[in-house]
Amino acid sequence: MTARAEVVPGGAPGRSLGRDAWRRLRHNRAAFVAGIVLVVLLLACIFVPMLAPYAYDRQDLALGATPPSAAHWMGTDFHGRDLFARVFFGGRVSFAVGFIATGVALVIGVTWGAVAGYFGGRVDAVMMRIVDILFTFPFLILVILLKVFFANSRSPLYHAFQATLGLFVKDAKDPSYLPLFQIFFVFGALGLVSWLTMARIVRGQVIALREQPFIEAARAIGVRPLAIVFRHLVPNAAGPIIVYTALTVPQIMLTEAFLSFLGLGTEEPLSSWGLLVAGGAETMALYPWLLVFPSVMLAVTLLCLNFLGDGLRDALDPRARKA
Amino acid sequence: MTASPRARRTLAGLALALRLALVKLVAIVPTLLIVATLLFFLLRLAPGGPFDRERAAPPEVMRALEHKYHLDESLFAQYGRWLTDLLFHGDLGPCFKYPHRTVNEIIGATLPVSMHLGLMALLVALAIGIPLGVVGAARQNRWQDTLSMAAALVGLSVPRFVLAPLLVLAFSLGLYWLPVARWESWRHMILPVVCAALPTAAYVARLTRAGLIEILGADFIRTARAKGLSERRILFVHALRGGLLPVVSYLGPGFSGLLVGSLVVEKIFNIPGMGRYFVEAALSSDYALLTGVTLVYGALLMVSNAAVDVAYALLDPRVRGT
Amino acid sequence: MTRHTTARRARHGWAAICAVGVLGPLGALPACGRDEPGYFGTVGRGGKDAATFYLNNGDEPEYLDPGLVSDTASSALVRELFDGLVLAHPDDQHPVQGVAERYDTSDDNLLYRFHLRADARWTDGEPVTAHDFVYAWQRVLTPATGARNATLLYALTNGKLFHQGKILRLGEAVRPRDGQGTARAELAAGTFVRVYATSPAKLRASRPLADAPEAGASVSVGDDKDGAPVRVLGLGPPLRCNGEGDYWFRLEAGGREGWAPGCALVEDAAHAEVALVSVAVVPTYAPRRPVPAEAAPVAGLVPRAVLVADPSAVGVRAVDDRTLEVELERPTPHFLELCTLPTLSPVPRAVVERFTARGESDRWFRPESIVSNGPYALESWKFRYEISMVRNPHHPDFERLRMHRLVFLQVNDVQACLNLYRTGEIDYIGSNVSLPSAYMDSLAKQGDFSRFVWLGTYWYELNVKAPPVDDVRVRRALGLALDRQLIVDNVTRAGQLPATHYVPDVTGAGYSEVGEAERTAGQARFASPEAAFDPARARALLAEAGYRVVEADGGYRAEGFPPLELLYNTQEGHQKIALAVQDMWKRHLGVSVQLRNEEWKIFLKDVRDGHFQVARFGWVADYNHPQTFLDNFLSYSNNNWTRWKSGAFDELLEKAAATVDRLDAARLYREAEAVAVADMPRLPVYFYTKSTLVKPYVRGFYPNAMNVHPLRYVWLDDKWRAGGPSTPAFPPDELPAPGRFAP
Repeated sequence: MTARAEVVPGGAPGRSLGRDAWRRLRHNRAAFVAGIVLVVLLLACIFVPMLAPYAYDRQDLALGATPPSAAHWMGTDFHGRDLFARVFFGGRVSFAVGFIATGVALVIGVTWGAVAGYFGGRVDAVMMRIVDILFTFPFLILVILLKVFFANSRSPLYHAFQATLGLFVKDAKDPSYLPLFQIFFVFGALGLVSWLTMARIVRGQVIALREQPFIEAARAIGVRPLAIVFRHLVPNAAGPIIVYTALTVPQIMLTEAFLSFLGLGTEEPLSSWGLLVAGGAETMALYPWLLVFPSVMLAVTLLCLNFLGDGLRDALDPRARKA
Repeated sequence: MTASPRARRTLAGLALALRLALVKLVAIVPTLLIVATLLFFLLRLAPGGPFDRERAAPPEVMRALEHKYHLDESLFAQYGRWLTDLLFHGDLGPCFKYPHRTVNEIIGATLPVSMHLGLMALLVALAIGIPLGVVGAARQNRWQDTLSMAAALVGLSVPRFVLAPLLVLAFSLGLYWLPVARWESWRHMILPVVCAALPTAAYVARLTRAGLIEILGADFIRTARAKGLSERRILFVHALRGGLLPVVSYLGPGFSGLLVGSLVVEKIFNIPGMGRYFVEAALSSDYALLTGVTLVYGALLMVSNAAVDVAYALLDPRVRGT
Repeated sequence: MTRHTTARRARHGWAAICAVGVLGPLGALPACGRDEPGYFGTVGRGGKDAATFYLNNGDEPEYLDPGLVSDTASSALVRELFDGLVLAHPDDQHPVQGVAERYDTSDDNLLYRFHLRADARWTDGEPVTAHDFVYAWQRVLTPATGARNATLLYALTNGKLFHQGKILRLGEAVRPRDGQGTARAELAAGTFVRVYATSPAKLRASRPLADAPEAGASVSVGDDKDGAPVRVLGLGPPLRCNGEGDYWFRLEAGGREGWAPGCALVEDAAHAEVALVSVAVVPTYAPRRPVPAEAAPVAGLVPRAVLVADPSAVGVRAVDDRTLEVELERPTPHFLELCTLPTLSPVPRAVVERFTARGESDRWFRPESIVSNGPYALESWKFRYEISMVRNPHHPDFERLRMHRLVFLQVNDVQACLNLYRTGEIDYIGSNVSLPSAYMDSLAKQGDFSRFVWLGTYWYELNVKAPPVDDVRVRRALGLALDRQLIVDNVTRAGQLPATHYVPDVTGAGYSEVGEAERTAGQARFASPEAAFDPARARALLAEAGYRVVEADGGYRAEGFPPLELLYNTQEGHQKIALAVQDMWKRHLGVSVQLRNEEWKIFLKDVRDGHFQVARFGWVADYNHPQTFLDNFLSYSNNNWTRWKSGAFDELLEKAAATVDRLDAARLYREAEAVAVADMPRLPVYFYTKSTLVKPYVRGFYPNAMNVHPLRYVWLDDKWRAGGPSTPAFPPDELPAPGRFAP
């Protein structure tokens, strides 16, 4: 019943929905501007660290924390590291966390929800009971346990990661890949705990759709069940999925910040906005710039993502046309 | 006893809602048992034991400690002991980190504080969020809407761990109006409650606005408008009831979310609540304590969800109909 | 942008940016309100009771049971609740009267006799007697008690053997049998025996069965978990194990026969059938005790079932209610200092036994049932929030205490603690709080800030079994490339002293005097240029070890040097130092260092399993003596994670510990330390300091190297602005010079 609001008719399926939605999105200036800001920020995070005069982890201990200056536009932190470089490098990590974790949640949630919704009956009952059980786990405990078990160099997952990495690079055994693994791990863990709502939403959609004539027709001509689920049902539930996805990204980015505050998220010397904000909050009375710049970046990004999500909701929700 | 059709409908709805809630409540026990069992075994597989400290104790001492807490028995014997204690004595076991307290005592001492904080924060969140949302919906796309929703989005984008020190800096250290920390008088409660409530209020505001806008577009509201009812009457009498449904369904997870989310607030304001054990107990391998707080959290979540279902069924004509 | 209504929503974003922009600089507000210029925060107490002292104690205590205390949060509280035989002077920590008003000692420092004061009382009015101490000490040494600090009482005769369950009493007369089953001379009931091994037993996992015994060998065995069950077949030649006399045993395990030292065997208490014993040496409390033979002749095998534990084998006894006699295993110059520690405080026997009988041994010390003998008595205990104490009406100092009530808050968030201090909620931030390094510079300017040397050393453990740090040249090179001055000046920022060795220079028991003498003689150990920051020499050493350091794109690169992993536990302070070290090794040696940060439990496990190359660690002194820093370098110490083993070091340290003259002993300690420094199994980084905040009106509070601050001497001076020296609330009762121990 929590998915009630999302159980809406899929609207007219096919091209017209997408084109319609795009038209409406473009006319929603707030969402459109937010989208542009996001793209600019994203590009900046990708390219600025490549061009910046300082590396994100280059220390100058003798310099220490200094306010913004001509040499360091956003000042430096306690270790004399350039905050400008760290903020943009941190943006990469934050965006990656947001997108990858959401991706994980999307894949698991959509598959889980669609399968449960389509097959119904006992399958549905068991699958949804599992979701209920996971819902009662405080997600923090899950993340901690996963981290404790697997985010170390002895975990079997790390060996799997090394093996996969070995396909691309020669020195996969180099421990300098460990932080990469640990970040991937935070993504994975966050994704693992955020797919539950997605599964419920998709299940609701699929249940509403599965009795529709076009599905009956597909079933009648002998299309395999999984094909029906993924070719016909999921695309028709795309609206709510996209909306929820867009709204999950900022949620995940905030959660990453929360975990960083608890010391369970991204780890130094890497940076992420969450980590920078958490660090800045501790010394805000002494070095306010360490809080202000990353906070502004994080807040602007979250705002833009929310605007975009709202815009998408308006664009993809056919009822919005009435307004 | 003459019951009007309307009252009868309400009664039928109530009965249905109660049945629904009952089913949910009955399902709580097995669900919790599965959760606890999973947790029990998962925790014991994690590296490190509860008695590891920076300085290694002599092996004789480690053996004595493990024996005292039956950690030298087989996993299944430990599980059996734990389950028997829980089911027949309601005993969640000993706390390893603080041997002078049992898990029951710890939860008994800290849960009320967290509930107190959580409930007050929830009330404040509703008191701020719903009016903001109503303003937004009633003045859709006008400056009042823009302002209230901007406030809501800021509330959603500023993490509590930034908000809390900022509030302390401004109101306690700067203006000396309020205490900086601890949980004593009502003055001590203002900052933590506000800090816990604001992000939730922002969420409630958005939910209220969205729900109201949806309802305001519904046919029965058009009919009401056509009948010439005043906008105010339409908004507060007809629309609000349905428009608040998303908020109601959010209350269950929202309340338990506040319990865990209060972890940051509890830490920063030194409030003796339960939130901190979710992290601490997991990190110090305090098996029984972690299982205990998870069970309490799960039970609260499920009970509040069941309660929300009842409320929902009472408010929503569509659920009643089915 | 503002022309269209649809565009208005875009302004949400601007509003948010403005909001953050306004809130952000708020943080830059200078301290205002009622803050006192020149001090951190207010100096008013807001009308709080003038005889109540408020402080933060950091974390929740684990135990308020003196015998079981091992964490600093508990120990600070127990020091107020319980009085030991002697107390530490608040200023320079020399022993002053506690429950004992005077003591006698023998010439060889092996015997102590304490005379207890007549007016020492428990909170229930009962007198504190010598029997209470005997009970408390024996309880600590009883393995089932689970006292982590039991090792402190290993100084007593048979203390260690008793704690390990290796000294037991015969419950009945038995005739031991030899390996062939032939009976030998009968041992009377009540005879104390030294148990070498029981059978069947379990062999420690680290020790495989050897093919043949090595006569006269000296081995060390770790404390790892017990492994395979073995059956004892016979006794072989003697050996020394972990510095003690022991024997080789012929064993049978899984169908295979072989040899193992006795110390590698763990008693399998549930299954042991027989025990191999000799007659044990028990305390006689007689001066000039004859040096016992290295090992008494083995008596033979006796049934395990007739052996019972009897703590009277340990060297402590009550002659009468007011006289306590102690016999030590070896001269222990710091024994009086040990007596000031919580572990050696008395416990109320009746209460403890009542609760233990109920299976609630960890609950007797709650406010409703605790009985204690210190100046303050537990009043209330709000879990993880606040503990309060009031004066103990039966304590001899009752009238002299100027603080009538102590309130310990439990605030483990350092920001919250600083805020509470700043607003005058607490008078002292407490001895368990570490100020964040970022705030150090601004706090150090305040009048209520104090900083003092604290006996502790921050170091990195190097796993000498893990390449590349298995090479001493690499270890030394890593040390030479550490710019420790830069670390203490710019990272830790608390005036710590760069350390090139392990024992802080100010350590007592003659250590600092010998160091000073060395320096004036121009032969200072550990201060040679060898040890200072010297990147060029470090590169040369690395090259010597086979890793040529070449210049590459503006920096260095150590050719062929495998990436190094630096492990630390998740904590901001450690991380900051690790980041700096990583940068230094990269910059000066061209070594790429990977930081690995783990949660405490996993960190400990990895360090103990040897799953590391370089790991953050440190040591804080239990008592003011070089022994506490150096004994964890012993090859058999269960706190030596480096896997470094040096026979020369073990021998020197054992010799130092057995030396009566403190200066001679100190010279031996420094010699042993030099052996360790030469091999560099640990990289010393700095010697600790303690930085703290105490309100200026607090008197009777002294900085000291042990970071122990007894609150009974504290008082609040409302005329503090007038200045004047800080005197204790009342002068501690000095101990008279020790008398001669005569039987």
